[in-house]
Amino acid sequence: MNIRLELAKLLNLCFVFASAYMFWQGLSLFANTDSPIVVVLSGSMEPAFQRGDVLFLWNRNTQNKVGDIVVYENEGQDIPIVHRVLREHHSKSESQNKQFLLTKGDNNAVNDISLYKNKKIYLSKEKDIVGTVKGYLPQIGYVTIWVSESKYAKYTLLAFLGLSSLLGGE
Amino acid sequence: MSKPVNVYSASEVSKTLDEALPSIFERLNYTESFKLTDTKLYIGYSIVVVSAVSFLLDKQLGHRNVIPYQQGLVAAYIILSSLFWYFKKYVEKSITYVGNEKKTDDKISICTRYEECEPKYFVTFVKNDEESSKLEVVLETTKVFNEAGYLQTDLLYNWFSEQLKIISLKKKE
Amino acid sequence: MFSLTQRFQVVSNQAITFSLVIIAFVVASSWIQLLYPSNVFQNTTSAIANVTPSMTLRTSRYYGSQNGKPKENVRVSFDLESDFSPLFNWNTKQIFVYLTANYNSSGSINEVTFWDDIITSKDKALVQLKNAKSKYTVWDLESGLSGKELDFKLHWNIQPWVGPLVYGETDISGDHKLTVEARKKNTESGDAEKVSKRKKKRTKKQKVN
Repeated sequence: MNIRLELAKLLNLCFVFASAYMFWQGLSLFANTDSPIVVVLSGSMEPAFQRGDVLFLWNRNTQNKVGDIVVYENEGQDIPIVHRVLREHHSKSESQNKQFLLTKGDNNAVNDISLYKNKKIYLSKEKDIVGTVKGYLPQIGYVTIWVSESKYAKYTLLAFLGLSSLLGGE
Repeated sequence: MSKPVNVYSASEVSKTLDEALPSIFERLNYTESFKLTDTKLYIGYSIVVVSAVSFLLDKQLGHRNVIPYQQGLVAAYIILSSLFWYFKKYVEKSITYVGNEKKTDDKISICTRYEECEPKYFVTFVKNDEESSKLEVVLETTKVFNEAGYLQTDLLYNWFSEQLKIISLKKKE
Repeated sequence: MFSLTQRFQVVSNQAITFSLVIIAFVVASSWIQLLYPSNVFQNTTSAIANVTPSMTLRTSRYYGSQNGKPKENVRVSFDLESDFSPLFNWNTKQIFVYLTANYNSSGSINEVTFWDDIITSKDKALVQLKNAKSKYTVWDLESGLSGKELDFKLHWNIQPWVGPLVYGETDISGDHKLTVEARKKNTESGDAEKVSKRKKKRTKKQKVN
């Protein structure tokens, strides 16, 4: 049993996770958002975005325009919502960076006021917006939905990862 | 080595030979020096620690609250990774074994490499880090493996001890 | 060399590289199609006419009212013409077109959407609306909309099959500026009555509670 050899093998395995995570973290810092890549979960933006589509977000803009597709999170809820900006109101003075947004899903009949928490009728760009959608990849994210919603898929994936890391040493 | 090897795979053959080096040199009265491997492991695991800290900070405190720390951690990750890469490429190179003679404390470094589809094992010896003592030899791998794919450690041992004699003669000249 | 995982890695690496090249090609070629032979960012035109506003007072939170104060809600009817067919190329999944109005209020700059539509194919890309009603009823964040000068604009957004979202604005012609008139006095009083009735109802409810 050569401890150094085993440690080196373990290091290789750790590197896979470390590099993947640090890439994500670097991307988060670059785009200034806590989730630079999101997977669409609902059909409220159909036919533009369907369940499983992958969106790339950017959050270094201080203001949004009407028509921008934004991702927002309600306070205390971890479900990101992807909807389009219907109205924007921002202060005339440059020093105040406050902006209020009203959103709506393209496929929904009415705006999002009923979704907002605490009887708000507008979102705050600074506090509520996770990011603005800049790029789009179809369907690839369906794997993550499949894995998180079906336990069989989860076990299959785990088994596959475990097997491949065991066989990978050969 | 009690496992048969697919002798048609140059990478597997050279890997088996690499792994046999420590025991051969143990028999030749050398103690292995782990300085290079240890340095590499230290750098490697510090990279893992940096990523783990970044992950935990993000999970425990939330992205928005720890941005300056994360910037530092990502910078550290990039620096350490390039250090690791530099170390592997320019310091460690293809060194597979470093050891010291038990009595004379002579240091020997061995680099090995192989080429695809050739039954050859290229070995470079360097004694005491002196360029003058450098010796490059090629081992026909067919000579040290038998038909079933088992490594003949005694043959390998003989071959290496011959090479070491050549090096010591070379130095006396 | 002969291991399953290594083979899997090689295959997946090649697949990823290959699809990245394809995506880059699709995105680049569709951008070129947007710029040549005619630049759609500059040459997409639209014509708007007969914009007529109508105003109501609403007291629901879903119509911008806060603390039960009545809120001016404005709808418009309008004629609109524009051709979006040059925006369709092989990377266009759909086009989202939206009619907005910019206006300034005392402290802020605002842009609000009155009407929008999703165009899913090239043969539906010709927009010709006569006396269309706005999809949304619009209110101002701070006060009322009366007295505000609305400047209408027609924007478009290409949703691609893959790649970046593309935005642009049409060159609008016609009478696109409009000042919302204050409510007429008789309607105002009528509304005020309604409001006071509602307030009474509310106070009753509170008592019950």
